[in-house]
Amino acid sequence: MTSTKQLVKLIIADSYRPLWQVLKIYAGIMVLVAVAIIHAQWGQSVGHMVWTIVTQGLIILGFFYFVYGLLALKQAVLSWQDAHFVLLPVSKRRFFTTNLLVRFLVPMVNAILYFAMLLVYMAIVKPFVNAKFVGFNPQNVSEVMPIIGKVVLGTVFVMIGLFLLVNIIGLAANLGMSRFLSVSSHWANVTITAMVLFIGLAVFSVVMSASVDFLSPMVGDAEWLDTVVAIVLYVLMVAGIYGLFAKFNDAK
Amino acid sequence: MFKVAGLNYARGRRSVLQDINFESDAPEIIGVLGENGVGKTTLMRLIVGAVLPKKGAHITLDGLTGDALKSAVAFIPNLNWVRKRDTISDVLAFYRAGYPDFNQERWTEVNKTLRLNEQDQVSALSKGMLERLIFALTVSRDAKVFMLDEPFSGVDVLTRRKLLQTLIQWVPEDATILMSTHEIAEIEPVVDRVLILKDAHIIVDQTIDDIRDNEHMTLEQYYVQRYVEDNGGIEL
Repeated sequence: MTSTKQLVKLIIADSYRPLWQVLKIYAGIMVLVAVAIIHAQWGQSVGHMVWTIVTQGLIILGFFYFVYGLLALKQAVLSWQDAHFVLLPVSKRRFFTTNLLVRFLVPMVNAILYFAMLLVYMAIVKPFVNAKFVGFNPQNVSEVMPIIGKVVLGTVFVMIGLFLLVNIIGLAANLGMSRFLSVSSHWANVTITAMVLFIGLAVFSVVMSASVDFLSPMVGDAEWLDTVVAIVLYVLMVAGIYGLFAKFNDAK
Repeated sequence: MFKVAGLNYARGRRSVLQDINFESDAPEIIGVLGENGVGKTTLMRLIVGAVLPKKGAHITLDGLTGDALKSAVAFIPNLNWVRKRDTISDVLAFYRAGYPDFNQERWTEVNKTLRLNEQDQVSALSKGMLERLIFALTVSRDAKVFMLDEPFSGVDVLTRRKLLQTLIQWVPEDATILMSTHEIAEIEPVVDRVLILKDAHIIVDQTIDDIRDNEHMTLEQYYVQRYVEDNGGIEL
């Protein structure tokens, strides 16, 4: 049997594949952007040009990280039916758990790295442009941090939900198509998956809000109710993905 | 003992395989024959667990079932996952890392015959070279069952003969080999037994010796005769 450590390494390597592709395109584009900035700002100080390039570079990098996130998500959905992973000598349960966790964590770690880069950049830039941040007072940091913490937690929570939703719907759509449609093109697959995804998102929102509406009169208008309902739905989605993977899979 | 019993599989409403039963006592080389689309590849995918059969199927290998059985079966359905720039060396690294029973010495030995350059990009390989790669990766494992799905379809005749002659040397002595192919005449000297599939069923499960002794025909002649008979005397 493949060890969990080895399995994690293989899945990480596979999850990073779209990142290398995206970063190569990013590097190419950044060369063009840098040339354009130098041309446009010719005559100004080198420091000014460098800051402009770094700022634009970070903004563009954010866009490319977003693209990577989408590609990694697509890769995660396809991985459930990817024979070269599914046929590895590991139990279904171990593969499922490892694949789900690693495929979620790798893009998340990259997103955290990107935001860390942004924070470092802000920390360096702030002394130079502090005057431009109207209303920002370093003394308010202690008040702002808990808000940032809540936003980060909320974002991670939403990301988990989206990740699970896309995986369960993507897998269900792919399995349904391979089982019931004898002929299908790549674009037919993409269109059908997108449609099913949209419907699934709508159904998820309706179920979530209906559950909260149903439970509210019984437990009161508690703030934690949304979280509890979401967690229950997440657990159901994890079980659903496992069920589809273990009972109906069709690895290619 | 490798045993497949009560195996049924349907795709949508179409029954692909129905009531498939066979056993094998290793060492044995079994040829899986049948026309295109008859379910030869599906049978291999079912055995390894890439697709799941209908309820009631029993696939066992020396008492192993399910995930444990999967670990003892060497089968590579394709290399579709390989990216454009991946080299043979990258693919090899994946199999080395993913399969603890990957036998590096055997890979080196097999590659002396197949002459695969590890620095070549997989996307640049011809169909025949790709088949060689899949073949070499499959037989380089210390598995108990080896499944080769049309391993010689794009391979030149000389390499094909060489591979068939040396196949038994490369795989472990106590292994069962399932090999689907359309090169019936060429596999005849090598296989011990054949399964002929038609219309979702096994219509023939016989040893080569039985076919030779009782039918007095070559395997290819017998195959054509059985297919024609089963078609009510119509050749196609």
